[in-house]
Amino acid sequence: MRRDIDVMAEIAFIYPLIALWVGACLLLLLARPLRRATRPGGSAALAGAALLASLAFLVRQGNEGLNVIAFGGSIAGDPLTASICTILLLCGMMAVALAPTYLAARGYDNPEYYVLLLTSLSGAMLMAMARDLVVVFLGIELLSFGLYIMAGFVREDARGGEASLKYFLLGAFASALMLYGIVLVYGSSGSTNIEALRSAVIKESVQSAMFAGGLALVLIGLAFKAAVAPFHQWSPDAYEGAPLPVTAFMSVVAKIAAFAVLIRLADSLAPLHATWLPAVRLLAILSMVVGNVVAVAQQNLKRMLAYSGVAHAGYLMVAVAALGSSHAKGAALDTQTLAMSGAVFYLLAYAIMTMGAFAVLTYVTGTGAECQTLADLKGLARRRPAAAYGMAALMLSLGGVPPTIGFMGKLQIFWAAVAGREMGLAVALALVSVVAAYYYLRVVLTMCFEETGAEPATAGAPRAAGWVVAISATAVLVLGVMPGLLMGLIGMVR
Amino acid sequence: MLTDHLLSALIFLPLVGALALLALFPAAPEAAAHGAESDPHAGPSMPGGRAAAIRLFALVVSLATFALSCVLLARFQMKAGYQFLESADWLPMFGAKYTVGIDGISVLLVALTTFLSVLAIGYSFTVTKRIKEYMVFLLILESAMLGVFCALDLILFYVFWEAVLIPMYFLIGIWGHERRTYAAVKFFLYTFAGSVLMLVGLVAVIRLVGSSDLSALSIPGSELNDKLQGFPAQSLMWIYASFALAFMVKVPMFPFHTWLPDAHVEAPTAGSVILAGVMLKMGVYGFMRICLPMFPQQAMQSSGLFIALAVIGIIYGAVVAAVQPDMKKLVAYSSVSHLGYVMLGVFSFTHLGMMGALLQSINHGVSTGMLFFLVGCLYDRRHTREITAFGGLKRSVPALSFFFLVAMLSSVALPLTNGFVGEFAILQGSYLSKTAGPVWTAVAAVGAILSAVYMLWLFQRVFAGPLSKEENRAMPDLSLREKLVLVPLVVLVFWFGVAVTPWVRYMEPTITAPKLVRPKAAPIEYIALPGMDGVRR
Repeated sequence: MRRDIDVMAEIAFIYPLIALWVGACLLLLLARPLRRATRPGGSAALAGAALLASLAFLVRQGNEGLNVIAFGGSIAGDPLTASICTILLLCGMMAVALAPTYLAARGYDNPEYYVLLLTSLSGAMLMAMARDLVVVFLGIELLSFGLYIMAGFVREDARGGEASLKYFLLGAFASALMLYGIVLVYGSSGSTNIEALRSAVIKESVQSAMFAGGLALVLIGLAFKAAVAPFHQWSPDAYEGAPLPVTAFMSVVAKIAAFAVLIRLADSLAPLHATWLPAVRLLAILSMVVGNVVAVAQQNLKRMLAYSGVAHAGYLMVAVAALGSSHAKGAALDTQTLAMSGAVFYLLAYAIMTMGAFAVLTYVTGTGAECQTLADLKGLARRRPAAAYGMAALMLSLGGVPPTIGFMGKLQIFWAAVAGREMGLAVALALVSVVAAYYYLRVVLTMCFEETGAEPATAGAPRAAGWVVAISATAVLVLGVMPGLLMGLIGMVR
Repeated sequence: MLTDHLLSALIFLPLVGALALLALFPAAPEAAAHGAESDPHAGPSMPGGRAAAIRLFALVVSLATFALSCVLLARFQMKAGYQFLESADWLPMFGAKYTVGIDGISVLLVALTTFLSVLAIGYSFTVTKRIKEYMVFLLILESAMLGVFCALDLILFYVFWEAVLIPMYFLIGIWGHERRTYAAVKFFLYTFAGSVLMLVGLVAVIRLVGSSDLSALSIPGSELNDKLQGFPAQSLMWIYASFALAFMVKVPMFPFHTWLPDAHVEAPTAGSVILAGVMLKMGVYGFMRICLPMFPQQAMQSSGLFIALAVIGIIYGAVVAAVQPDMKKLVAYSSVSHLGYVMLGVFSFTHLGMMGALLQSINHGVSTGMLFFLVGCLYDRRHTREITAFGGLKRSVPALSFFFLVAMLSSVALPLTNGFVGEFAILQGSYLSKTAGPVWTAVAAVGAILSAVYMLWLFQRVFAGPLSKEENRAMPDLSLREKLVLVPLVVLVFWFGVAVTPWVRYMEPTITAPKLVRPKAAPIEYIALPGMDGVRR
């Protein structure tokens, strides 16, 4: 840990963030010419360039970025940060690729959309970097405000407005709770820095109910952002009302960022696990059961994917519980590494699968009415076989059927759970995944088994969305067989 | 090169073939949109020629795979232990490797898989609906099934085990009969539910012994296996239960058999043949490869339960089969009955019983595969499977009747057919075993009588007597292609029936290898058996 780091080096560490902010500013400055451009996609290209630049900075940091403490210990770089930021940037790129055709068809392919997307993403990355609860809060707000507006970006759409308002009201409430929690933590321990809290916890200098209550509120705030049951109520409505590319973006990015913080807290505040492990277990079980069971009843795919997102948050909570449990039981270090890398791997898997699934919906939507319900996908295998079988691969992956990345992710979580001696959670995860298989398979059978008449293929399928589908479906299968290709990224966690 | 990687080549050749099919015959949007019902001469392309090319390509791929498995049979050394081993790093974070290999238990199942796949593809030339997807799924299915029988790493085994479900799900769901969607979902969920707990058990085993190397774990007396035995019996019992449940659903054993009639009846003919012929054997194989060698104490303790369930399955399957009005359902329930025999043999813990179980697995694939093909032929001609829609067919379709007679006699285990050899070995094994014994064997033997009842009655109602329905008079007899599919099966029926020795040589050293049947069962030295004269120890 280098304490004597100079200011320029500290700033160099946040170049990936700065690249996004510069991109956002450029988009605002060039808003007029970009609007007047005859061909859509200029703004998206600029946003994509900013994302690429950010990724380039991240890659260039290489190993140097893995052991950095900057800005008075409020921001730090480690393998977890690096891998989460990489995943977030990849998600951002996919989200940008989905947007132009969809928005242009509705007359909203404005530069402002990409400004919001870039700032939101920078907020998510800030959460992954944060070592201080106040910075976590800053990141959450930066992330959320962009999402609130994006959810209602297509202004004429009443459902979008509803989604935006609902998300905003509930989100603000959760933020307030979390802020209150941070205040309580500060009041009882005298610090908001996670490292400082860690040493305080280890020295057992804070044991008050106020501290525990504060942490509980922080946990609730994060659970809200990650859509963990019972704090998931906003997600089906927000997902359903928001424009498809926004749904894709927020379903993935908010969850990844929130879990990055959760994993960090679970790892850092290890000695506290005796107190909060039961809560994490309860959240895991509730999420898995509520998410999967309610998803069965959904006819709207956006709502179904929202509930499936709740379920996947539950799977990730199993990994968090396993991480805590292996700390609490003094298990070997490799167990904790497994739990952490398993969780990060699952986040990546979830990002690819969910992004891919929304990309299929965006692709099928094209320039027409939004493809939302199961009925809209009926007979897709005859109209667009490639998209249908791509979606089938993604659905099987979400269901955790080998040989897909979803299975490899689930295997790692099983592994972590068994290693952390959380057999109950492992069995629960196994059982609910049967329920999950039911509703994912229903999508497959609607697309592939049911026949419609010789319906013509919907015109104007967006090519960029098609590429996202192709890449994510291929990645799901290839990484499902050879996850080792990713281990360079994931294996360095911790 | 090829000799070092013979097994990998065998496993992945169909998959490569499937990918090549996708690459060589890209989707023609117009043709795909209208599909089979459009006039073949309407489009600018030649759908007819294209479909023929796709069929031929798939057939060639499956024949090449079969040829490779013949090389395998020829080079297989008649001894215990794994052969054609290949190993490569695969999942370093779990210590899992890509390890494949075969021994006396799996070699014949591999050959059966490639053999039935050729026939299934050859039979499916009449399929017109979405022919490319159909062949792609059949080839992927073949790869996955071969993977199950060859995998010698627990995680690899599980991946193949589950992967088998996907192509079969599509095959039932797209090309099945009226209730295909229901049957496909039921099939998938039932077997998936059975297997997910196995994943927990599997991870637990790997965590306990620190290795997923099935090639060592499945050898009693190996270091890893001994290490596993050293853990508390109660934990091992739970883990054993998670494996056994997955395999019981797959076999399927009595209370878990309800997915089978639906799946078999609704699947297209080739799907039913593969389901009955190969996929059910995956469950049997799981018991022989994993449950018995890895959990000998637990298997021994639970043998009473399994034998009871097996015998119930024999009787129940036969009785229910007898009252079915639908031919395909009748054959499906007969599978429940036959697989009961197989499980009885496995849990007899005698060499003879296990050998009989393995033989009967192959035999069942041959005879039931043949029955499904023939029912499919009838369905193609009349578009019904109701027994009452037929009668006296031997007058209008003599060749079909002849083949059906052979399949039926093999199914009821008439001496000189393959069914007799397997069933006799099983019954003799279970009679002599300490786990089953004479009483259970006697009850099981009643099933043999019942099988004669439902099969002969079926034959009588469909083929014997006067030609009762006018529309059956002009029914065309078997085509040359259909005969070509059926003749190899007839050859096998009699080959196994009268000269089973060369086949037994493949499995005998593995099954009688020291300690595979470790629990203190009656050691069977040698029991004379018709057609097994050469098997002396």
